[in-house]
Amino acid sequence: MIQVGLLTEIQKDELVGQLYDDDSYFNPIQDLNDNWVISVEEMEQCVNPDYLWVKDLDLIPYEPKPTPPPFE
Amino acid sequence: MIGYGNSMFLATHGILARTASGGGVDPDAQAFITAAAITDPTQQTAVNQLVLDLKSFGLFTLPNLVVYPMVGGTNTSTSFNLVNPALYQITWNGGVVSSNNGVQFNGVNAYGNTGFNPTTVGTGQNSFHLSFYSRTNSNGTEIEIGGQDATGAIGSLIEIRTSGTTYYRINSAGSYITHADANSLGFYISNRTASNVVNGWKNGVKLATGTTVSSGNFNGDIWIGAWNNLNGAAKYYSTKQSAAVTMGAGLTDTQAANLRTAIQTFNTTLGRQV
Repeated sequence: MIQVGLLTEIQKDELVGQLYDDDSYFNPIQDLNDNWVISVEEMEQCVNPDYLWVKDLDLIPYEPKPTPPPFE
Repeated sequence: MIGYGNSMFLATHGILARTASGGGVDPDAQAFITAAAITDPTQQTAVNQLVLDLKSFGLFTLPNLVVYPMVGGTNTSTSFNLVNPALYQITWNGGVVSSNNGVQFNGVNAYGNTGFNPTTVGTGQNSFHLSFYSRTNSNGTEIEIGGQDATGAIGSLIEIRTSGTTYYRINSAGSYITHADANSLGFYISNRTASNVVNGWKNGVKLATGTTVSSGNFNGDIWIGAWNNLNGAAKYYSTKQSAAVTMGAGLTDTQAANLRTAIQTFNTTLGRQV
């Protein structure tokens, strides 16, 4: 089971467009239940001192939104 | 200083004897090594040989060629374009993890924006290729590289092994050429060489051919690790680890086979070939 870090709407807005390391940007997405989440990789690799709080986010199981096959 | 930023390495590894000109490290290799801050001697040797091989095959001057060797082990080093480090540096987004084996995408929200827009670059709709070296065996609905316009009328992609089938598409509407695929390991090329000539390659073998007519040139940035779907819908995030990506003009059969040879030699030197 993939886990992701749970964000509030305000936290999501803070992370959009921000770097978590020298060359990598946060990419908050919405899960099946419209929760805003980021990946554990972003949490673990974050070295931006302004956003180290992401390391303390609660983890929840990742439930992706259903996607239609692209081959139709 | 002759090359690599490490003269001791040159003295002990015989770089001077191996270069095509006999005059030191290939300058294009050196430019990449410097930009990407590659310090590992094996990686430096592999990069130099990759440039020499691409040049010996006449591929380095392929129109609009971009090569991401995915080397160096950091999200910075893996972002650089071998052909011109000043152009099309990847912007990573989401949970991308670089290591000495390449770039691992997480299947959740990770992708790289190459900044390479085929329309802006002027590639032309009838000559273009995308490639992706996969080190991961998977079988899900994932797209490894490409993009599609807002209406779906023009798109390009490589989708490696969804339910046992691999899909290719270059500058066309939603029509794909495919082949059955027992695993998703190796070097894949999606290629168009004329308005009605498309083909798909795995590990140097042409496994799919078609006559799908091109519909236009994709006007968006090519993404790696997901699909730049301009209608805002699904991105089909990949779970694969990539050990090289290229794009540029369409490839002849010989060029496609030679590109695979050069990339496979590179990855074999790095001990990460599949």
